[in-house]
Amino acid sequence: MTHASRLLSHIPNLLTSMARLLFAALIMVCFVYPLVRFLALPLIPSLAPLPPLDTALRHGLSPIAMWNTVRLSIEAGFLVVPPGLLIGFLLERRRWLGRGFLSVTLWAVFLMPSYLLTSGWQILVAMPVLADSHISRLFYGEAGIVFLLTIKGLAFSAMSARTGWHVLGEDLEAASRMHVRTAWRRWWLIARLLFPIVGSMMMVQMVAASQDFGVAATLGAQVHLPLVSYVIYQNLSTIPVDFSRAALLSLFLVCLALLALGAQAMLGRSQAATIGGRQHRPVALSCRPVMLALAWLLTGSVFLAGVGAPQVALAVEGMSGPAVHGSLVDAGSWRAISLSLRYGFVSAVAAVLLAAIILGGRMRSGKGGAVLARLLLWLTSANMAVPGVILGASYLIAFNGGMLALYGTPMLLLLAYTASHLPVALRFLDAPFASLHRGLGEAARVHGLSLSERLEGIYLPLLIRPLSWAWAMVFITVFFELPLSEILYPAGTPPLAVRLLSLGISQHYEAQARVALVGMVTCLAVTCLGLVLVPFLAGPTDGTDTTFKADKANGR
Amino acid sequence: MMTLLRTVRPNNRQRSARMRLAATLLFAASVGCVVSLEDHQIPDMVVYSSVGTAPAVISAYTRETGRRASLVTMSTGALLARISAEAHHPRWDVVWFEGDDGAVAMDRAGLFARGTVPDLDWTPLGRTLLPADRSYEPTGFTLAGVFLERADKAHTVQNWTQAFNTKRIGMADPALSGPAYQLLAGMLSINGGWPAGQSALLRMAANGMLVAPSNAAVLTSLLTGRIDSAITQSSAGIALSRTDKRFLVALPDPAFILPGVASVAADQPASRRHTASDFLRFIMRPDIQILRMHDTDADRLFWPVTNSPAQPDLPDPDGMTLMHLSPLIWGGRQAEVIDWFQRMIVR
Repeated sequence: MTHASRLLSHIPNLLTSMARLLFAALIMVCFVYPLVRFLALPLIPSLAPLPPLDTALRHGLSPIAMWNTVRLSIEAGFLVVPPGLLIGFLLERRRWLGRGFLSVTLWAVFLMPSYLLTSGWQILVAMPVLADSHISRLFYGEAGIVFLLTIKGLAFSAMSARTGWHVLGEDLEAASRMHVRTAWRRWWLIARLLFPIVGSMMMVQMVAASQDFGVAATLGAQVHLPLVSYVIYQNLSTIPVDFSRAALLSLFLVCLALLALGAQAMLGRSQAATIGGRQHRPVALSCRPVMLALAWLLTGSVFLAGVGAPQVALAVEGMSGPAVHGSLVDAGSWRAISLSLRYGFVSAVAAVLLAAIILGGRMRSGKGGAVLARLLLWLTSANMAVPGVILGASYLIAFNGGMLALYGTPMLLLLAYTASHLPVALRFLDAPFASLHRGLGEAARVHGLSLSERLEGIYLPLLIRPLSWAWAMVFITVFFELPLSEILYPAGTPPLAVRLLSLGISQHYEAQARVALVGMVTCLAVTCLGLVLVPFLAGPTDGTDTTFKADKANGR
Repeated sequence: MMTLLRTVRPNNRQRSARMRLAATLLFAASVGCVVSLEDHQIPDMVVYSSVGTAPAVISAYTRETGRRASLVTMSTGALLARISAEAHHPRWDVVWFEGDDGAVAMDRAGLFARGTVPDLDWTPLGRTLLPADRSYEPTGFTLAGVFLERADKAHTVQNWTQAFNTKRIGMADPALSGPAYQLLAGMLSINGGWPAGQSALLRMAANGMLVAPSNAAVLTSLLTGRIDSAITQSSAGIALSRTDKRFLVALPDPAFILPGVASVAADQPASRRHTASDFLRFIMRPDIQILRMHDTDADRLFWPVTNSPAQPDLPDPDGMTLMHLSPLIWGGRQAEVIDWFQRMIVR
């Protein structure tokens, strides 16, 4: 082989490496650079697009908002534990008819935007029966905010609790039955074993509650109870604008999250030390009548508080008002729905595609590619700990001048939606990609199948359903996304969440409810269409799945 | 595994074709969405405005000049925040809003082009509203606050003393509503200035004053009976009292001037700045001012700052005690005053 031909043979490898580096650089520009630049603002004020218009910073950093945030997060952290533990127990350890319904309810609560949850409850509390009651006074105060934050946190905490009940294992329970005679002592032992997971649930809930923007921007703003996430937004989007103050408050939120997550990690280690060794999966037992009644009561309560009551309230309110020129919603709201549909569709496709590329890179045998993929995975996952309002602020500062003057364009909003939802797609697709045997693709390559043939013949048929579900999840959350939209939307073209919030702020509750309802129906229709159409078009036609299952069954 | 590999041989054309079709459709839909999101027709001029009569003026301008002008409407607070955030990379050519304190702050930040205001037949008051560097043009004025109350509770709020001591009164939040800051500054000013005037506001807060996000929200609270009286911008208050006889307006003494202002972006190319300056002249043409006065929006109820035309629909300003707060002084205190208001009054 001549020197020239040897050089030529290296070109494909070189191109692959360059593509990888380019991809990594793109991820760094989209994820790392904006955050670093924003959080460095208090140290280097010249990084701001405009210096503070006057001396706002000397008036402090909203200590009231900081104290409110810490206090309410701790309260929500404590309150979420009992129902979370019970839900986890019912899902992991008990066999009963409503288990599926409870899971679906938790998913619905998880996907329901907190500002819509708040709006629904506001409509309910405004009913004549409740308007001047004790309930109304409680709702329009700290108790109402903590209640809403607790409801929103139930899905995550139930998931953590479920893991805890699973990790406890059958062996420990069997041992406690044998060696500990009294029931209350057995329960005390279990409670002590569950302590690390309880701590972990509290910490996760505290972080989620401190970062929530929907409740802070609606009920929090209305009852004049400032919370840091909303004060950050105020510093960016109301007069006088102060970027440095927003950055300092963001650092406070990040530090709060790091403290809580550090505590969670310590508790996790403690749990690992307490419950070591291989555990047998616990068997789900059938419920006794009292437990069954409790299970249904809890399921009903979660459904009513998190989904049923606010949805019914929105529906009733939406139907009660007059239509606008014969249409359910006005032209501006239709436009907002249409914009959110397009933003959601493109961002979801981009997030799922990027997630697939990163997770696919992890599967490759080449060391460099795998390391790079792991690094990207870690970086993008770290992004998950950053609330939307901080990410929005970071994007505003980073893409507001010089070569990257994207602020005020739809492109920046698309970029922000994709960046903020990539971690969700990664987490969702992690398990399906991990379950793919690396040898599958390697064998196909050895047999001469090109990348496109491998994609069409092996990867897509096996992954099309998880990919579709990941797309649907990202689509739904982007469709109703609030903090990023509020900070970054192009002037004059507000997406749905911004439109809904502005209708709420101007006290047009009927119009807000109608637009929310139409938005939800539209979102659900497009999601269902996507979930049916994509697997239908891209799915296997000749029984590949069946063959694959047969192969697996044969141990091949 | 071999069985699987046999099934994925390239001869399975039907599946490949369907997958490629799906991929093509997905790609086309994504590209279509991105393309439809971007506004491809670059307008000759972009106007950010919080003034309700702006759409009619823009339509007239486009009709007359043939230039494509794009209007983005938002509240004054959001507008000022947006142009601050866009900073030296503006996506606007002209801003038109209410409150010269905000205009002074933007001018100090170097966002407004200077010397763009045309020479017009200004009234004496109009002349006092003109900035020395001609960085913004006064387009008329309204009053930052008038007393609006339910007719069945009439005459409980007729002057500032009554307003400071009454219960169930509301005003807009100056952090969110631009005009409300001028009102707050005026209220502080007649009570001894800053910080001496704080006590009057604290008295109002102790009496349970409602602070709503906008003038519109204050009016909604009045309509729903949550409050009995309100201090709102004159245009909003007078418009409501004329359409709904259940409400009465009283003009305060003194009344705080809230100038409408328009300006040109400093960081746009010269040709666009030139077009924008033409538009400033267009807004102030007598026929266009008459067009503004005949609009359906409440902002039609403004007092002109040029000698022609006269506003037929409002009382003569010469019969009122008007007070113009220095934007240089009160604009500079804005953050401090709003911060205090948020901590001590809104809470």
